Amino acid sequence: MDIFGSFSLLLALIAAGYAIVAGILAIRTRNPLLTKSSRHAGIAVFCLVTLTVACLEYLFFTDNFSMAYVAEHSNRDLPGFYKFAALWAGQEGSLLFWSWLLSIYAFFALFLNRRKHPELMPYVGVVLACVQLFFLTLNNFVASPFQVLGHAGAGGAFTVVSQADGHGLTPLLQYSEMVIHPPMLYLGYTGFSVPFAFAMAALLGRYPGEKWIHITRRWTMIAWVFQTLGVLLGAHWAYAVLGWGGYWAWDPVENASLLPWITGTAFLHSVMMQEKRGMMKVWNVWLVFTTFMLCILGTLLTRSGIVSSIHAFAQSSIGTWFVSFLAVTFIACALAYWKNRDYLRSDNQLDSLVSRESSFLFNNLILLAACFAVLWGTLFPVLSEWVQGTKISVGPPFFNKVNVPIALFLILLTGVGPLLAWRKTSLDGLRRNFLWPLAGGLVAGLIAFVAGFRLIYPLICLILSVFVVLTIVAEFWRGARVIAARSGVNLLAATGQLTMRNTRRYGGYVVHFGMVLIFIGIAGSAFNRDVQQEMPPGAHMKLGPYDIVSQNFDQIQTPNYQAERATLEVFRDGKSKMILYPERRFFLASQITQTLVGIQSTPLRDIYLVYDGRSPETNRPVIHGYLNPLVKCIWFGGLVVVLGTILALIPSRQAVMVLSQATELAPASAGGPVPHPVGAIHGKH
Amino acid sequence: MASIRATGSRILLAIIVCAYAVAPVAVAQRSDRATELGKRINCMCAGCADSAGLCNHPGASFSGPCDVAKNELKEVDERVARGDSDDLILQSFIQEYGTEVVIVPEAKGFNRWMWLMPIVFSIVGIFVVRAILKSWRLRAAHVKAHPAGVSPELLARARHEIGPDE
Repeated sequence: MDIFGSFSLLLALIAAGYAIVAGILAIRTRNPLLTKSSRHAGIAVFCLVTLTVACLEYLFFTDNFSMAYVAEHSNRDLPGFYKFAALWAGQEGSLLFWSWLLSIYAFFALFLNRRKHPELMPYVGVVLACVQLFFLTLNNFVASPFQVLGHAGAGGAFTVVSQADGHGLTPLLQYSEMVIHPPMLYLGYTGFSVPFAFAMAALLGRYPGEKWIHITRRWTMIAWVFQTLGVLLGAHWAYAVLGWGGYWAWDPVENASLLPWITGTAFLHSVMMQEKRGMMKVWNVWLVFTTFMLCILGTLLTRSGIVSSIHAFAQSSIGTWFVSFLAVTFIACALAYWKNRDYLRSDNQLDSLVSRESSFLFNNLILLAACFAVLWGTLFPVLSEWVQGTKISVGPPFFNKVNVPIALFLILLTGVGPLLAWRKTSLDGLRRNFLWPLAGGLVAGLIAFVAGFRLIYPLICLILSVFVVLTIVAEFWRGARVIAARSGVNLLAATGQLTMRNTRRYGGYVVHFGMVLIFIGIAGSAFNRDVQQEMPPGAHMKLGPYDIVSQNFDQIQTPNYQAERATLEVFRDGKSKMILYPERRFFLASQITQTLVGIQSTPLRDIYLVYDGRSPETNRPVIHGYLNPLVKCIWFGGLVVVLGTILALIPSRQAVMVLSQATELAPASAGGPVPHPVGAIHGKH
Repeated sequence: MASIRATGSRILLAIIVCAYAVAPVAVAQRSDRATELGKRINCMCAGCADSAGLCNHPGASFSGPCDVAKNELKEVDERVARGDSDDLILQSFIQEYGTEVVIVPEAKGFNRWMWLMPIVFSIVGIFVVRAILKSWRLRAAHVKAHPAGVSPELLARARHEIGPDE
């Protein structure tokens, strides 16, 4: 099966190469048969890479420990769920997984558009095939997952050696979220290849109008929502599994996942300028180019270990390949832009500074400032070592200090931007839209200040968050009220109708609301508390208003691991509130220890208890307790963001005003019932 | 109008510079000066990516602070008790362990650019955005001065058919 898998991987590489050649010939000769052939080759890449992945999974599930990758990341007692996830546990499998997800996107992009946009799709196919070619080259020749364990015997013959059992999956990955987190993140990274391909295709093919923006908008949103999910799941995994009480450490690999998310967010906003006003064409093209290149950079940072990180699997030579690909991509983008820049000329006009156009520009500026700050801080140690010859580290204080003011500006614009009109907003409009939300925000800030919350940044965050939420509520209220008055339905039904009439707009508001919740949750970290102490049975720990009592420590034995579990009872005002069971597991196959945190989560705060193990000095159990306010807002906010994006992806229902003559009995009067016509709104897709 | 714009730009610039000068967000729940200093120096055990004050080893037999972190914190305690200033303590750690020991390097020499570049980027970005907005407004003024041959009635009808803005 390993030979079959390697062979199908090689065939996929050949098919990708053919797709490029046939695609270029199709563009030059305008031969529809060549276009079709190139498209079929692209689809064949998907089939062949899927076959390869199936072969590797077969090797995992049949415990074939003659394969180096299987022996490294699996073992006989590993549950099936994790055997499946072991595909992306190491570098070789991760890169194959990248290729597979990319081929899935390419398949759908080619298949769904097989009868549409005949001038554009050949270019799209070629660009996607080029990206696939790079990753398939790595899969075949640099990081093959089908390497066999063995050694050269007497006479030079290679002897295959099969181990009795594998090393098992890293315990830190034996957690359901870690099964989902990499696929989500990779779906984000690979997904941005599609808008990149369409942008490049539109530029190279000088495709008229803003059509390519319309085509790629949904692809971009899908990639963006996967990237969002990937980032949040990773943060939740760090919080729930690593046991250090936090969810974001500004680790280089964490930063690498955030960078394309930021520029992708900027792109999703600025495309509206191009759609509505035909403006910012050059900006949008370079934004999508940058987003794609940041995805490659992210993969480079993760795979190469160029900036040391707890995530990086190992220092390897693969970094050189990624740097080269990044350089080639940049050159290709620059050349394509230079040759076709006149096609991007647009009729930019602005009637007023107080307009949605200005707010989008500032929104993009702020997002790019955040992206630059994170990228700069991540790469500065490498730059410093290159320039000064000395190693330095850039830790969370830098990123927090720089990004917090930027984030606050962003929250402000989140509230201001959507309420400004295109072209020009009148003073009356400004007053109408902003006065009460601003007043509400300031009142909330005043209440918090009087209640004792004096930290400046969380206070500003609160004011701005309340302001944004009120602007969103006002938007829904204004529209729903009109529909309710016209059609006689209740406010809730009217809100539903309003939303479905313009899912993109109102889905966007829901996403903004989710982002505000996330920012509120992050602001709560300014009030975190923690205590660490020895806690033998009967010992007490004071954690804010809670009293933690150590009840018991017991041993657990399973085929996969041994564990020691703490039983900790949480009291408040003398009453028992809950019992938490933080645990330490020692995995037998990999000989690695993992902590399982005891968390009790409410919207207002998390009680987070970690069993650190036994003190090396006294052999007594040590418990680290954290009281983390508002963390649940982050996860709930993330869910709202995802739901809002899904809503925005649903096609809007266009309202058709149908004036129907209907007889309705009016309230009794002297003349009896009076028929009158009513206007009804009927939805149609 | 021009002076209002200029004043607005200056205020915005001042806000950006002040925003970066304000103290960090994270509040110190522990009042112990040594613990706070411990969060400014890296644990040099090469097994975690944490500060000495927050050292955490999730996969180790003991997840809490390792011996290296404990020794670093003990050293900080001793120096604080001796009356050394924060800067002096950090400098002594740099001399002992190298520049990598501090979580965030001092803003001196080339390392100054670590802090300056985000501010420079933001300021340059504001000027770029300002230039773009100015060019857009000039073009709009030009179009107004040389309108296309469209009657007001046709324009009004077109606006009505386009419908409300999103």
